[in-house]
Amino acid sequence: MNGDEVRLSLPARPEFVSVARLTLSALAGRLGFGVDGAEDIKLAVAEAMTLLLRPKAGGDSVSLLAAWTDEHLDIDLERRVDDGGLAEDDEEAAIAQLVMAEFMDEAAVSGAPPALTVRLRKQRDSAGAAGAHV
Amino acid sequence: MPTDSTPPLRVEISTVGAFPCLRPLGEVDIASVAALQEALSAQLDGGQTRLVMDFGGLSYLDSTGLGCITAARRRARDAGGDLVLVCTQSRILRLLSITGLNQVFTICKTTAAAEAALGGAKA
Repeated sequence: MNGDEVRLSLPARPEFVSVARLTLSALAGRLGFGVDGAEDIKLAVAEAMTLLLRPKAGGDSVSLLAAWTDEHLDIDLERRVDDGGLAEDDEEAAIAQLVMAEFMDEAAVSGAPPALTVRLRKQRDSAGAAGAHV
Repeated sequence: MPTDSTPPLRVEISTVGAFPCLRPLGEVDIASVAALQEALSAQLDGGQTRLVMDFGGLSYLDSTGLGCITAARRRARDAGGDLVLVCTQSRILRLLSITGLNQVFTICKTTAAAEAALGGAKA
C-alpha cells in the first residue's frame, strides 16, 4: 500500500482547476479522509493550481503527483514558468498561500526558475483517515 | 473538439431596501470569477456604491473570489459606499477568518441586517 501514486498532467487553463480539485477530492475520500479532510484537500489543491496559473508566461501544462503512505498524503504540483514566479504584491497569491497553509499540515511554494512548484502534505490521521482501506 | 465547459456562475441581482443585492449561484473560482467581477463592476459603474453580497447560493469560493470582492469593496469605499456580506456558511466564514477578511468586511447573517449595516432600515 506504500508507493502508490496518482499522476495527472492538466492543461494550464482555469477550466481545469476544477478537474484537479474533484480528482483529489475523490482520492482523499478513497484514502479515508473524512468529509472535512477531503474538503480541506480539495480547497488546497485548487488554490495550488490557481497559484500556478498566475504567471502569464509559462508552460502549457501543470503536472500533479499525489503519493501516499500510511502516514500522509503528499501532493506536488509543478508548472514550467519563464519568469520564475509570483509578484510580491500579488494579493490573491498571498491569500492562496494562507489558505493552503491553514488547510494542509504542510504547504510550501517555490518559485525558483525554471519551475513554480507547490508541495502539500496532509497527515492521514489528522483528518480521521485512520483505518483507510487504501 | 468541443470547447471545455464549466458550469457558469450565475449572479442574481435583486434589491434589499434601497440597495442592490448580488447573489452568486454556483462556484466562484479562477474559471468563473469574471462573471462576479462583471456584475460588481456593472453596479459600481452605474453609481451604486452601497452593495449587499449574499453568499447564500454559493457552493465554493476561492482566493480569486476573495480578491474580487476585496477589490470591489475598496472601490465602493473609495466612492463613499461599502460592500456588506451576508454569509452563514461555516467554510466560507472560515476562509474569511483565515485571511483576516472577517476584520475587513461587515459580515451579516441576514440581508435585513446587511441593509441596516448600510444605513437602511433597522434589522
